[in-house]
Amino acid sequence: MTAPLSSLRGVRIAFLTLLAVCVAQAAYWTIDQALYTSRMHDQRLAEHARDVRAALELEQRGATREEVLALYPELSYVDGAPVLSAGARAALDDARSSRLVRYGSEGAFFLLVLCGSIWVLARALRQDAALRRRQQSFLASASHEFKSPLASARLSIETLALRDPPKEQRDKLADRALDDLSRLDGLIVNLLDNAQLEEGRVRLVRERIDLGKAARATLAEFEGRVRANGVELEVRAEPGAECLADPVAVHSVLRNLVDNALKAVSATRAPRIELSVRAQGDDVVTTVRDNGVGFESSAAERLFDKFHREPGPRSGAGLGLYLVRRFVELQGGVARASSAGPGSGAQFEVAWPRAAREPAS
Amino acid sequence: MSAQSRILIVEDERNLALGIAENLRAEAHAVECVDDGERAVERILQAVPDLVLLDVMLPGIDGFEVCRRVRSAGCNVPVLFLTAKGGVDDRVQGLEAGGDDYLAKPFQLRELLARVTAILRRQRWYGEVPGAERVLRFGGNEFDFRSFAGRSFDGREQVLTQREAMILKALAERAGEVISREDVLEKVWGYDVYPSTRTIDNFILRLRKRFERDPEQPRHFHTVRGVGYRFTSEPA
Repeated sequence: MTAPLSSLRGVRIAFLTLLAVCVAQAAYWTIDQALYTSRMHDQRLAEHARDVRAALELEQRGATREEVLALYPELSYVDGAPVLSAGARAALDDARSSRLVRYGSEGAFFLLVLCGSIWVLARALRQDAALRRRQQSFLASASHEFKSPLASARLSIETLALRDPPKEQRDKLADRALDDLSRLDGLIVNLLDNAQLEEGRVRLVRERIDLGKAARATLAEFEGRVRANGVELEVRAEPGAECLADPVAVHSVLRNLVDNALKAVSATRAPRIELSVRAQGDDVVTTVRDNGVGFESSAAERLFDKFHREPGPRSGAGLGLYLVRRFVELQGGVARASSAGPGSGAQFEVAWPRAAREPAS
Repeated sequence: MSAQSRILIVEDERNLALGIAENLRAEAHAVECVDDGERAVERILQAVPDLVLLDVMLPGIDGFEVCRRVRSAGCNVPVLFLTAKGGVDDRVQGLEAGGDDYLAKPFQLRELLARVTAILRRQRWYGEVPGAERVLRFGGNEFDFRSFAGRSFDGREQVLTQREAMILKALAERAGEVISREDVLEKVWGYDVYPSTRTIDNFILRLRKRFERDPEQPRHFHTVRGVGYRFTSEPA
């Protein structure tokens, strides 16, 4: 775990070194140019001083002022003596200051561009590191999520083999093992869905789907788990509540919502889950309500973040609700969560468009 | 299992907790389950069980922290870690946190039962101290196996860790005889030994530092080169 972070530190040091070298280089260039300009300016002044001396010499040899000025147009006479004319002097000064300004602004611009690009790069690196950290913690939680049901299923099966229990106990163990296997299956499907979404390989079709039927079919998959956990389940579906959506995405959404509710009630004394499907305006709304752990209302949005895990029993790998929102939003729908607070249960609502709308983004 | 032991399972994975509990009950143990770290610490300190099966990844504080808190409260209950990770790092962390043994998920039921049995057997062996032998006296030192506390020849108070006390007991039980390192490992660490025999040498060094007048010239804790150790209560 330390290797990628220490290499990141190496990159950071290299970056800072580069930045320092570039800044020094830019500063050196600017200062060098400024010094050169001043030197040139002084040189020009010296040349003019030579001109003034030459003009004086010419005068002594009998040249008229007009002849001298024709030869040295940048001179003028002040108090009868030839000097560098005010205009020429101003032109020289202007040339110097405009050059200084140009070098100064060019240097500053160069520095700005440099800092800007380094900032962009640094930000990309930081984001990359943050993602890597989240992925690392995801890997740890995913391995936990895989191994726990695996351990549990194994234990149930070994118990069956070792103890040859009576029928009732046998059924219980079988239900438990099936529950574990269905959780494993769900996790694998989520991982694959996530990988496909990440690669942008998901092609969603739009079909007419009876959500009530789809919900019942999904619940049937959870039968063993519902029984093993003694959950009271209620389903209310308006007949003919149809949406336009991708059947695989709908299945993923419903499965993850039910799975989430089952996790939420896993430590509840009289666990209860209600699933309802109803038409509402242009939408078909599916609501899954549980009387489980609930959450702080401030966490409602966070729940849908990728790899986010709320502290609590059976918190999962942090993919289920992320996939719910992604799939729903890709099809122009909305996913929301609400809870009256920790311990007060929760409600997850998904609105699918009855007629296909353009995705929100 | 003849005598009933009280075992606390700390595991947030409900199915797994139920499965383990049923199996341990079938072995005639009294089992209780909790599913979070804070409650686990509370329960352990309220009524110290004979064994704690402790999951590492728990809601709230993790299993390592539970173990550290329990140990720092002076509780020597044996702890068997169960974890989904199972890397070498985790193993080391578990032992450093004061765990007695470590089992990676998914584990075999027989393996789990065997380890539980081994730990409980060790516990019982240590607990079987006839009243008269409760306090061991040798060369001006004395040590009470029940309280883990004693006093050395120079009057300093000596509180031993459970491991140190167990090694002292293993040696003192057969005072005057040569005991092999393997014997000590089997007695004190039990099933599926993982520390090296070097580890025991370190424990012996610690015991010498506590109880020998001159640890360089031991009079009680002798090393028998290539074989093991011999404890003599009174120097010959």
